[in-house]
Amino acid sequence: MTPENYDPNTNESGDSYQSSHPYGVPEGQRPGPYQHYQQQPPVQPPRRTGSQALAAASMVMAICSFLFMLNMGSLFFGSLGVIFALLSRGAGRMSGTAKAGLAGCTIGIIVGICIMYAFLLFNMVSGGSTNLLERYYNQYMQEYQMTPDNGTTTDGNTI
Amino acid sequence: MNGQKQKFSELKKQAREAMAGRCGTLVGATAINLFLTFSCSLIPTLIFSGTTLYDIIFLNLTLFLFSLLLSLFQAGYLKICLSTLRGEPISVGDMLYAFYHHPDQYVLMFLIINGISSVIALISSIPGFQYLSSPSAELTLGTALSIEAELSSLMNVYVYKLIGSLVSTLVLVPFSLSTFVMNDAPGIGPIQAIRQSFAMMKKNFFRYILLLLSFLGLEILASCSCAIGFLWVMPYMQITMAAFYQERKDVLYPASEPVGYDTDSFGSGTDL
Repeated sequence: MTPENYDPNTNESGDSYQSSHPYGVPEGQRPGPYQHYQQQPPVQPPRRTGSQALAAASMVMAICSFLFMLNMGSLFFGSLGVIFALLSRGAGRMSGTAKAGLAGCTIGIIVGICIMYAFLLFNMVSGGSTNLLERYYNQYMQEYQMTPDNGTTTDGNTI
Repeated sequence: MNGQKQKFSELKKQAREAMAGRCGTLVGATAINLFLTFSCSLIPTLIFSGTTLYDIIFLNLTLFLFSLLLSLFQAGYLKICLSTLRGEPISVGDMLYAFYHHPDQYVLMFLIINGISSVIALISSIPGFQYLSSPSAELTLGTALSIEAELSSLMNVYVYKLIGSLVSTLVLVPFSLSTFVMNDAPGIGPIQAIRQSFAMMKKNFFRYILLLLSFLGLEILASCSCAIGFLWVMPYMQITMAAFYQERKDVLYPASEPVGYDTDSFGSGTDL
């Protein structure tokens, strides 16, 4: 850095001190004009350990899995959330957001499946599902002009 | 960690660390790759019904030609995964890597690998053809009474296909690192790349299969999300495979010399 373009608010690499400190450097701690030339220890770049975006996405999926619990959407959103949470770890440990997302998604999937089984069980006990299946079966047979008993069409032709 | 076998968790950790902050490009590349895979398998199936012998032959021939084209894109995709692992810059345009770096060598290599795969697929589809061409199938198809019989016969057809794909997977395991080898040393001969892959997979056959099986849970989860989860799971898997390749390469070539030019054991780089 030449004396012509010297700026006391920037270091040797040209970075502003204000940019490195969120609120600027306090007046008392502002370095003097010659302190920049002192030997500074090399600043290690922050090590990337996982993705906060994926952790946040996992949390969103957990909320969605709770919201869509009644129509089996919980399995869709929950499984996506579990994948996001597991991939957000990076090389380190899982962040708090990712842990919350993972727990939420797991609960969402389990409760969603339980609700589906309870619904099916209720229908089977009350006979609703049997009637429904029978109705669909007859509808299918009529659509393809088949009688359900002997494999002949309704107009008398054998298939 | 040169010269040592790493645990699966270590390989996966490397993959997750490499993926951090690069998910956008990786997901984009995976979406293109999945779309191409889906298209290449769907179009021939729509054209040929696969109910006659000629149909089955033409279907498999077309699938073979499409898979050759698809393999070139997948080679580019694996290049992206390897670059991601090594922290090199990546872009979705790298999917076309194989088209610009000795495509002839890539095509020859995939001709061998996909040829083996297609022959196994053709053999496993013969029982299905026998069933569809049998007189009993003509009688039973479409009748309401024989739904159970029809289902069990169709089940047999699919069981044969499943066995075929399993055999194909096992047979092709030793070839699985050849694309990485060719990406690492462009211009290397296909036979040489395959030999290198065989050398790297020596005594690691079951380890590789176990590594593949360790992703089963994630694959099931991705299937539950209507396959959308594969956009994240696939790059994770492939980067882990790239880490596996890197580990094997470090074992065979500790001084990180270029792969494929070990002329003492594998001959010159102009095979085929």
